[in-house]
Formats: sequence, structure tokens, C-alpha cells
Amino acid sequence: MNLYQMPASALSKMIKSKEISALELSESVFSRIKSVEPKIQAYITLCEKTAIETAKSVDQKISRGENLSPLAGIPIGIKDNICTKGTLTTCGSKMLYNFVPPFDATVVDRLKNADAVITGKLNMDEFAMGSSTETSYFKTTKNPYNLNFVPGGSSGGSAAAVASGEAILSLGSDTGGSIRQPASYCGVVGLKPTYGAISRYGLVAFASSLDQIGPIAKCVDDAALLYLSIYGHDELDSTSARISPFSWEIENQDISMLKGLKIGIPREYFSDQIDKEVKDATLNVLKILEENGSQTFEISLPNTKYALSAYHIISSAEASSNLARFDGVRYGYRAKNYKTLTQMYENTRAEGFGNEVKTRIMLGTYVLSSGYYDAYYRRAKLLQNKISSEFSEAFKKCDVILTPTVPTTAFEIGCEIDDPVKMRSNDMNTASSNIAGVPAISLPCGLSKDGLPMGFQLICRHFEEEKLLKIAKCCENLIGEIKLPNI
Amino acid sequence: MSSKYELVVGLEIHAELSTNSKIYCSCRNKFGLEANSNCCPICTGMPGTLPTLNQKVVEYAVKMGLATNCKINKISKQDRKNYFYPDLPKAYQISQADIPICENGYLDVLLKDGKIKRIGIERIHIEEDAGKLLKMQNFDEALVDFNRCGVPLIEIVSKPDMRSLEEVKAYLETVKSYLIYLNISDAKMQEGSMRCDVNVSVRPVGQKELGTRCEMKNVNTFSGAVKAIEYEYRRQIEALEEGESICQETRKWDEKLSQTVSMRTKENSKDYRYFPEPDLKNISISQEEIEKISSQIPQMPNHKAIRYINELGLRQVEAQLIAENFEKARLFEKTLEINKNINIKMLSNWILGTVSEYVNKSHKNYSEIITPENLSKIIIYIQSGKISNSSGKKVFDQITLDNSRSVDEIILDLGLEQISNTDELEAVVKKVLDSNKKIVDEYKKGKTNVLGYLVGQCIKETKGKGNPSIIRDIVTGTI
Amino acid sequence: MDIEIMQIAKLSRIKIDGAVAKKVEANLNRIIQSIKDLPEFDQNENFFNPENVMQLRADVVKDFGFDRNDMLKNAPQVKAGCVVVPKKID
Repeated sequence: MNLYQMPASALSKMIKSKEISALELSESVFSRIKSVEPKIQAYITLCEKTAIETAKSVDQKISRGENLSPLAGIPIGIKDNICTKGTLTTCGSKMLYNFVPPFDATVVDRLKNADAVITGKLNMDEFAMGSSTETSYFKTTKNPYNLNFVPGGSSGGSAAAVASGEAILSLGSDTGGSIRQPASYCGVVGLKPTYGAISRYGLVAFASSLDQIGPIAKCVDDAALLYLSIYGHDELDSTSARISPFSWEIENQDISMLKGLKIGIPREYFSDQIDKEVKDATLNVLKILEENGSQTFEISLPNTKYALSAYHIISSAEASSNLARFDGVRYGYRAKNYKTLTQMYENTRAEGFGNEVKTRIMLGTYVLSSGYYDAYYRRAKLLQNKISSEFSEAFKKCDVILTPTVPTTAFEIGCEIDDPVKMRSNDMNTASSNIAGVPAISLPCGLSKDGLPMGFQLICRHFEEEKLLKIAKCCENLIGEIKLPNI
Repeated sequence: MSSKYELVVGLEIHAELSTNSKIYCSCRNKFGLEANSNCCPICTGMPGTLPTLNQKVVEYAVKMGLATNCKINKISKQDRKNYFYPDLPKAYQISQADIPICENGYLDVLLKDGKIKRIGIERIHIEEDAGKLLKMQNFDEALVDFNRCGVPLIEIVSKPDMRSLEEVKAYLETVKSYLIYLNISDAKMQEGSMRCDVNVSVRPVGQKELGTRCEMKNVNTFSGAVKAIEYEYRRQIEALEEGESICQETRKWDEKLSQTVSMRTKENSKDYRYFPEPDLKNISISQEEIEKISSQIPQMPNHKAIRYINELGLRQVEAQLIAENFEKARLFEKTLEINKNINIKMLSNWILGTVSEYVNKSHKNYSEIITPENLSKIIIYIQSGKISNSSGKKVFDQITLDNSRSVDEIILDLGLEQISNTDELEAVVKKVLDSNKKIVDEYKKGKTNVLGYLVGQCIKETKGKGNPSIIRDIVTGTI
Repeated sequence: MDIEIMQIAKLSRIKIDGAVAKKVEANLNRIIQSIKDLPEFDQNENFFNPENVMQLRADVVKDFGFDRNDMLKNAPQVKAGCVVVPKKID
């Protein structure tokens, strides 16, 4: 097995025991990048020079006998909407084609302090709006399992990089499913933490009340390691929570915790819109869990049918305001032709944003505009409360909720890009956990007959990441790994 | 002013708060620095940055709210007001829409005739200031300076309760004095740390419903506010007289032209698309915090002035002049406390005269110049005749040079004590009268105006130390 | 419930011309159709959650180590330490 194919949890031990050097690991990842990146197109910016420097400094620290964090020397890719000081941060948009932040996002700061090796900045749908990376201004990332298919989105670069060995771990962001959907499409693990669990400082906002940064990894252990290195209160983010830490043992999880575990199966998440193959794979996971002593039973989250609408209204409304700062005044793209200030604004924004982003900004402007606020925004926020309390009620009956992550496997490049409504149905099983703020994780559960990965989703109560990850690890042990992609 | 129409005015006053740091980031809250040298990724709206609310801003807003008898909302929230302008980096201003920190208060203003007018306060909310757009002639472009972005503001919105220019002026002055008294703002209109938008409407006298109002922005001086209202009052009456209707609009006060001009209709059809600020959670203010802040609030200057008039018998002008400055009023009250027998009129004259002149000249604070103990001693000594009024000023001058010296010491050093001993003075008078027989005769013949000369000669004989009123009595008694 | 696309575009400060406007309008209308099925709520019902409160920042000045040039080097046009924009508004 090549180093780039191994999980961070194993690599970390090997680096510390000097079995391998951090430099060897980084070189392995960068040579993998050189060979497959032309096909996968996961990165917008590569940081090879600083990565190699960091790796060398980790090796020096080890030779000095310093105590290092589990992520020391581990190559990690960062989604390109997370600010990196001195390194281009584009959000996949022409609007920020030349933007170099003068500061690090809190998560990046924490990774640097943990001596992680930052490999580069990963492709994404423009401003995280999309489910395929096709709305990126720069490139469309390919699914490592089939290069004609999308990797999912918006964190498509993050998922494809981990699946193809172009990074050991990556950070994504999830507003309506943007970590879990590409994780599902690419056969990797993706965690959307509880809203407030990880600082958003330095994450270029799409929808502030829904956005969360989270890890994408090859396995649950790796996701837990990355999560534990970046979570927790940040004085720069007023919405970040003070949460108590937990420790994570990289050993086999005792599956006896599955005994008596109450698993809720919400019928609304198994509708006719879910592919039969995906549904069967999810039901198979349930069967395995039952065999190991879990109680599974149907529950109902009736307002789920409105979750997607509420999601679109709230996210577009917030996006219309969050993206108003891209006006060509202080940074990024500015149109060439204008005479007046208004022309400068209108041309800059018309030329700098892609169609999907412009549509969402206008939708958001519309739902907030005078006379429509009550009909849309207010109603969506009231629904958000309803959906949240529905989850709270459900969690009185069950410990965890299990659903398919996405209705389908990955779709072919180009086939949904012109159909915004269909594209958005990708989020139907994921958006509700953003709306309710609860943590959710997507795990692979096999390949379809076309050889594409399928995923299922586990959802827990607010700030129950430890439990969620432990259950996920049990599932992972029982289901077994899926075949690696052949690129 | 027309007798047929009544003027109705409401004011929205923006005051910059004098906190150490800005409202949503840790930059210095300072005026007059080099362009763009006092900002950070947060206040310049860099992508990915987030606001964190300064605790002092909330405290100051609560202070103003309590001083103006507002209800303090224990939970309030912040909202985004969306509009594009180069001096607004995020393209939205974080403000407060439906749940401000303070609501429903009032302020009593003292009018010239001694009457008190109560002006309602609709709300007081917190928000961030914008940067500055610098426009120069001969240059087709404008420059943007972001230093002022994120300077904390409170907006104090009055009810449309003012009915005359005098009331507007008195209200503005009272609000300013509150801000300064509470030590929460410089409240300098010229420097822009206090600005106001004026809402004006007119209605026929006796009509209950309010007329259609016009909002005037960009009013940067007290006199500008008054002139703008005057202009607008006349304009609206003229329009009504000619049968036109007033349209609700935003107008701009043009200081140079001395008139209000309608801002383009686009300005008037602005749609700010307010919605709750998702980057901030609610602001919570506990009962204990409210009580703690409340205990720090001194009696406000208008109430002090009313007390000075009613209880101490000061004239309104003097009462207001003393009360307008916290340290000045404190000096007055503390001095009074030390010796209840002090002549209040004399004390008031001293504070408004000698002491204030020195304060203005030296730019020092009242509390730095003289202690209440020393001031009390000087005045009491003058009252009792121990020293003359002009000697009192000499003592004051010495104290301003070195306030560690005692009054008694200075009097002794400079030999300022008056001779009030009648035996001693009688001898002096006798000597002077004896050597001025001619003049004494003139006096006796009825030329009484020579008395001053004789008294003066006596004082000269005592080297200025003789108590003039005693000498006077002896001279008239002797002749 | 046809939306006034030109007005929305204006409010959003995004230039669109006739042909594109039609397409965007159709697209927006489709999305709006798909989200308008929300249930009705009582007029008085409020989504404001009073329990969601935050801790405030102490009023202390901190140096970000942020130089004026750190900001200006990203700006498209700079003069005299300031960002430059057209003077004429519209």
C-alpha cells in the first residue's frame, strides 16, 4: 500500500515512531498529485513548497523529541472558501480570482499550530452554491470512481482529493449537504458538525446561520482526529459554542455499544425519489445493525418536506447579504468598463459572479424585499423552528437517526447543470440537519452496480459528535471498506 | 412663525460612543488618524470575517436609556440593514430593527420661560458607523477611508413631540449634555461625533393627525438644524397654502445654499431588506447589570438646573450654566456642602466668573483647578471681610499655580489679610483727615463725592489692607 | 406572482439585459414555485428565540498586526493610501 492511500490515524503513528518521515509522506502525496491531478482536477492552488517546508520542520521537531499533535506532518487540503494567509482564496469564483487574505481562518490557524501540512486549496462550486463543482469558475473536478461523473459539491474538490489520495484529509464546508453529498458520491466519510461546534471565522460566508466547516476523511478515525483538532470555542466567532472535549481512541470501537441502541428511521427520507439501489444499501446497513442488537423503528419528521424550501429561502436570503460585499471596491475582480459607481457595481457583479450565484443572490434579494419578507423569510424561519423541535421530539425516542445521504449516486457531468430545481433535490436528505443545526455524518455503504459509491447518513442531537462518531465507527467496522477507485 | 400652522419635529440623533475599541472588532476607536491606518480585516469587511460585539457599547446604550427613563429590553437583537455604498464595506450596516436595547422613555427640557417640556424617546439602539468618502474637486474619482468603519454609535430617536425651534434647540442641547454627563460621547457636532436627522411636518393648529413628514439628512451643526427646520417649515406651509400636498421624502440640508433639496427618488425608494444578523446571537442584559449601571448615573444637568432654581434660588441662566458641566456642578455643590452659610450668589458668580474663565483659558478641568475646600474658604473670607474680593482673586491665582498651598498660607505670605480692627483704623482715619482738611471742608459743604477719595487715601495708608466698608463707616462717622 | 426582475436585479446591483432577464426570470419563477408551498403561520407567531444569547467582547484594543498595505494590496485601484471609486454615483 502506498502512503497516500493510508489513513491519517495510521500515518500519524508511523511518523511519531520514525517508521516514516513526514517528508516521505508529503512527497508521496505530491507525487500522487502529479500523476492524477490532471485527471481529477481537485485543486485550484497547490502549496507544495510550504508543504515540504512544514514536513521538514515536523521531522526536525521529531528528531528533537518534541511532543507533537496527531496531525503533525499529515497532508491536509483546504476547501477554497477557507481563508489562508498569503495563499489565494478564490471561493471558486472569478470575483475572487486574485484575492489573497491577510489572515488565516481559525481552523487553518489551529491546523498550522498542530503542524499539519497544508497541501493546497481545493476546488468547489462557486461560493459553495452547487452540488457538482460545475459552477466553479476554474474547473470541474472529476469523480475518482468515474471521470465522467461529478464528485458532488460544493466540497467536491475536498472529497475527490481524499478519495484519490491527493490529500490524506481535507476540510470542507456544509450549508445544505456540501460535505456529506460529495463524501457520499466519492466513497469517503464526511462530517457536518453541530452548528457552532467549529469556528466559522475565515470561512467565506454563504449562509451564516447554516454554514459549518467539517472534515472529509477516508475513515471515521481520521474524521474524528481532524474534528478534534479544530473544534471548540473561538473568541472571533460569536456563534461558536463552548463545548467540552472528548478523547478519541484509535483502536477498534467496541461494537457492544450497538446493543439496545435505538435507531430512528424517518419515513420521509426513504421516499420514492430515493434510488432503489441507494435505499437497499441503506436498509442493508440497518439490517447489520439489527443483527448486532440495535433496535430500529420507523419515525416521522413530517415537516421534512418543507426543509428544502426553508433551506433555499434562508440560505439565499443570507447569501444575498453576505455576497453584497463583493463589489469591486476593496478586493477581487473589478469590471473594466464603467463611468459611474452604480455601473461599476452592476458590471463587476454581472461579470464576476456565475449564473448560479447571481440567481441565488436575486432570489435572496426577492425574499427579503419589502412586501415579501413575511411570505418567505419569516415563514421559512418559523419552519426552521418547527423542524428543529421535530428533531428534538424524535430524539426523545431514539439515539440516532439513519437515512440515505443523497437520493442517488453521482450523476454525469453536464446533465443537471441547467436544471436548478433538480440539482437542488440533491440536498433533500441533508439540508434538514443544517436547518436544525444538528450534527450528521455520511459514511460509504458500498458501490452501485455502475461502480459508484453510495452513502448513508447518521444524525444525532446537538453537540453529540462523540456519540455520532462512535456509532459511525461501529458501522464502518461492520460494513467494511469499499474498493478504492482505479484512476 | 405662522399662527395658522403648527410645527411638528422629531429628531434622530446619532452619537459616537467614546469606547476604547470599535463596536465589532478590537481596533482603536480613535478620531483623526492617517487614512486607512486604523482598520483591520473585520471592519473593512474582508471575506470570512465575523463581528464580535463590544460589551461597553451595550453598557453605554443602557446608561443613556436609563438616564432618559427608557424601558431596557433584557433581550435585544441586531439586524442587517442592506445597501450599497463605498464607505460601507460589508454592504450592510449592523443595526437594530424591531428589538432595540432601549424603548419608550422621555427627557424633560427646560425652556427659556422656565417651563419644562417633556419630549418622548421612541427608542435608543446601537449600530456601527460607516467610513468616509472623500471627494475632491478636479478629480473624477473619490477616495475611501475606512478608519471610521465600526465606530460605535447610538441612535436616539425622539417622538415627534417638538413644536418650536426653541424646543428643538433645548432638546438637542439637553441630549448633548446627557451624553457628556454620562461620559459616553464627546457629542461634538462639528467633528461629527453627534449628528442628526430631522423629521419635520406641519399641520393646521388644532388638527389632531400629524401631517406628512419630510426627513432631512446631513444636518451637522446646531444652527444648521435650526435653519433647516425653519426653511422646511416655511416650504411646507407654502406648499399647503398653494393647495399642494407634501410628499413623504428624504431631503438633504445644503448648508451653503441654506435650503433643503429633495434627494433623488431612488434614495427615497430604498429597500433596506432588514433581517436578523445571523453572525451574532441575542444581547442579554440582566437585572443586576441594569441596577449596577443605574447606580452609576448622576443627577442629569436639566434636573440639577431645576433644583438649583427651585431650592437655591439661582436664576435660570446661572443654574443652567453651572449644571451644564458635570465637574462645574460638582464644584458648586461640594463647595456649598462644606459651609451652608456661604453666599450662594457669590459662589455662583465665582464659579461662572473667575473659575470658568481660568478653565476656558487653561483647558483644564474644574476638578483639577481648585478644591471645594479652598474655594469655600476664599468666599467665606471675602464674606466675613477677612480679605477683599480682589485679594480673593490673588489667592485663587496662587492656587492655580500650586494647588498644594493652603489659602491661609497664601494670605499670610502675600499679607492679604484686611485690617478690620476699628481702633487701628480709627487712628489711620484721623491721620488722613488731619492732613486733608481742605477736602473734609468740601465734604461738609455737601460735596459728598469726595468721600471715595478720602476712603481711598485711608486704604492707601494701610497699604491696601484696610477693610473698605469699615473705613467708610469710620470716615462718615468722624466727619 | 411574477417577480419584477429588473427591480430585483437593480437592488442586487447585478446588470442584466433583456434576453438574459427573461431567462433569469423564468428560472427564478420556477424556484419560487417550488418553494411557495410553505404552510401558513399565525401572524403573531415569532421566530425570535430569546434564549439564544451571546457573550460580549471586553472593550480592549488589540493590534491585529494588520498594516494598511495588507488591505490595499488586494484593492483594484489605490491612491494616497485610499481605495479609489468613481465619484459620480449614477
